[in-house]
Amino acid sequence: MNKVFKALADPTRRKVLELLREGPKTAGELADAFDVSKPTMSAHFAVLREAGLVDVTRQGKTMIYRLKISVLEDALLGFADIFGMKPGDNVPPTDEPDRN
Amino acid sequence: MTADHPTPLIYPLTATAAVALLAAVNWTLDPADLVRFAVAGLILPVMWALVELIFRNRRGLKQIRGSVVLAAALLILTLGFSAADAAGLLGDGGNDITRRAFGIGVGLMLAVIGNFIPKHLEPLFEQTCAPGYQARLQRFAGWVFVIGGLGYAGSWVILPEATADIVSTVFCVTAIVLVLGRWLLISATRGKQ
Repeated sequence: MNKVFKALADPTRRKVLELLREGPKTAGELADAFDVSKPTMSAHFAVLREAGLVDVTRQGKTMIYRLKISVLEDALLGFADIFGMKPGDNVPPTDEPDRN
Repeated sequence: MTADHPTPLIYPLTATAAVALLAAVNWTLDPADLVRFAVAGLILPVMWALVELIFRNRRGLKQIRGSVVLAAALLILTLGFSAADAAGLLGDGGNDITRRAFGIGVGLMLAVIGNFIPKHLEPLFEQTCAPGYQARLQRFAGWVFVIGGLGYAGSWVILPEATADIVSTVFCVTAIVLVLGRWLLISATRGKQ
């Protein structure tokens, strides 16, 4: 559960999960929705995979991400959005690389 | 109980053994009901063995073991209360307590299963439905069964027995109708690839 809280603590990762609610998306489609570097997005994807919130399959050179959250995790995602949870709000810091 | 963390074999083995033991205890307390307790004690291990044989080497089979533990938990709850009632441990209200315990167990099981539907249910109809619609259907089904299951269990906690019987059935049937209806709608309309 600790990994799930860590994953949901970041607004970018929460947004990724919300985009995936519409259906499976490629890594490129997800990255295009954010103004961050590719290494940073890869780090976000890794955190989400480690928390078991997304499933990834490879089709050729393309990585396709699929949402894989339980109802409880979905509810936690909603609460995190409502209360604007951010890294540092009593959750362990993320491992993402420095954007600068 | 996940695809990445399959249930260890010892859990379903222990659970089915506990069910068989409780069925045997019930039979010793009520020897006239041999058939009922034999079925209760044997149905789960027999069905599990059949599934393991028929679907051996299939992806996701280890998730069946988690389901066996869940089913065994419900049987343990029912047989445990039945044995306690037969032994006179529950007093005059034994029958009511047993029914309520079973109703609460069924409701909680529905909620637990619903919780994991969006996470672990393998795509059942991805060949005929666009993945986006399928994902939304699984999420909808998960939420409906969680709410329905909690409503089912809550009915047996709060309401008088006769009313709880009706209200819990309404929760269950409504959940099934909603999910089936949504599935049929998706299948018939925009969901096709």
